[in-house]
Amino acid sequence: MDGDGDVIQLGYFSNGTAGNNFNGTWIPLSGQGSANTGVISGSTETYNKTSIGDQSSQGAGNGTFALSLAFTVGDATTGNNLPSSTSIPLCIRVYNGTTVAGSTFFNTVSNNAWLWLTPVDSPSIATVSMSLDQAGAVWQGGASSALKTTIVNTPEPASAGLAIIGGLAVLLRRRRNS
Amino acid sequence: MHLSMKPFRSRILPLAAAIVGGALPIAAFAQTTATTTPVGFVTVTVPAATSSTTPSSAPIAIPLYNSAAFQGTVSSVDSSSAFSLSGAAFTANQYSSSSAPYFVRMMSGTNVGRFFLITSNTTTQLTVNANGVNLTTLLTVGDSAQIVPANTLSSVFGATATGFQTGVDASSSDNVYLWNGTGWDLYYNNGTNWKKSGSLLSQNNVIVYPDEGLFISRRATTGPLTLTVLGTVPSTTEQSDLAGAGSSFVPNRFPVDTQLGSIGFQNSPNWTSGPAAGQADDVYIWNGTGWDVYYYNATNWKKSGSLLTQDTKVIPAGTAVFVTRVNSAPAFLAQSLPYTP
Repeated sequence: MDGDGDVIQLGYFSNGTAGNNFNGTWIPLSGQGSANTGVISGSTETYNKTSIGDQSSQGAGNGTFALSLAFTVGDATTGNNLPSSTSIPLCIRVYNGTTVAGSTFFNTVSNNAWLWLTPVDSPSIATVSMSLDQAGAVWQGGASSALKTTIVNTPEPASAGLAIIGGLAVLLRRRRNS
Repeated sequence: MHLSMKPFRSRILPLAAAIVGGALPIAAFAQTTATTTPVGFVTVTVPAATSSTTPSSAPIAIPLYNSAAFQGTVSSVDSSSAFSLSGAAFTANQYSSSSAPYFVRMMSGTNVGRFFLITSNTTTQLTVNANGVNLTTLLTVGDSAQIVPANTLSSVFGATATGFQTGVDASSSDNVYLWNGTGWDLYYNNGTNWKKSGSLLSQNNVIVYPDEGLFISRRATTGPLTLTVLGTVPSTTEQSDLAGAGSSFVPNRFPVDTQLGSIGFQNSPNWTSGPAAGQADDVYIWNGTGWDVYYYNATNWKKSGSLLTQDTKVIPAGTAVFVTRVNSAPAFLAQSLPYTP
């Protein structure tokens, strides 16, 4: 079932740049803690519920994820807290629990190729395709932490291994005013 | 989006062979059959806008040709951009007027399915825009060619754009977008002529190339925009140029549905496969409200944001897809004829 796995967030760091991807405050665009509450297209799941195992309709099951999220500037449910610059790389954060508060560890992965794009009206295209298969992934916990949640979320022992594969497409739209 | 195709074949049925003369035996049931190129129509529909500020949109394609004005074979390849046709007796520049442009389509040979815009002609020779290729390496004496009128905005949609919401500017009208290689050119109709945002000139004669899709945004809330186009059904392989390290808006060249795995992008020369959309040449397919990203991972087509195989993803007739390539080498899509004409 979608939305009931370990928390996964799409987000960014407020001062992140290519090469310094994890600088600043973490701002989630999806997953628990996100201010975006819209329903994901083609699903009944909301943006603030994304988790490992989502979305079953896209072939994702336990330990995997596959998400396509469209963010629209000015939209009250999908346009909150969007990055202010195209120099900010997007990130994927994974927790080892089904709630942020209940998780003991997390890790964040980014890639210099995952830069935010200026939202556009159709038919123009602004899509950030993010895949863990993609070369150039950098992990907040360091290279040795790849695919593991190693960063302490609360002072609890133990680290959880994480076997995730997945892809994420982020579609960026401008609210049409004309 | 709907498509209807009604090909037909005209047959001239048995002509009585009444040959007088006792010396020649005549086959009792001899008959002669003549065929015409199938013609048909394509109907595409763009939904009504949900509100005046929220247009609906759809990519469309015109997979039909106008009737041929001339057909012949290449008698000589004269330069990198000129060749001559057997049986030609043209009037000088009759096929190169900007108000009535023509293409020449290659109907046989190794480059069957390619087409070129005619830029000038003599009584026997055509000079074309070869799009950077050298015709001396592309064409062969004996190749069959057809000269056909090019589709233009006014020939496809009418000069006054019946059915479209017209207006004094683009923001009050239905819009037609054409990809110019680096961005979209936006056209609208003011009730009299086609206009381009940022220009005062009539755009009625803007060419819609056979390997070019159109993107329509509908602002009218009163009902869908239904367009029916008549024409000659393609009867050969069709080739579409794919820009290198750039983008192209490519139509489904045939008036039948096809699938992502069978349309053949992955077989195009210089096509880049990869493990993720960010590392591969990508195909964007319109989902009704936005674009979904597809890429070939060297084994199957995949969709960014999905783990499922997408080889059977349907590209409907009368639609177009956006292709963005990371490979700098230009390529072309050779879409095989999916039916027997």
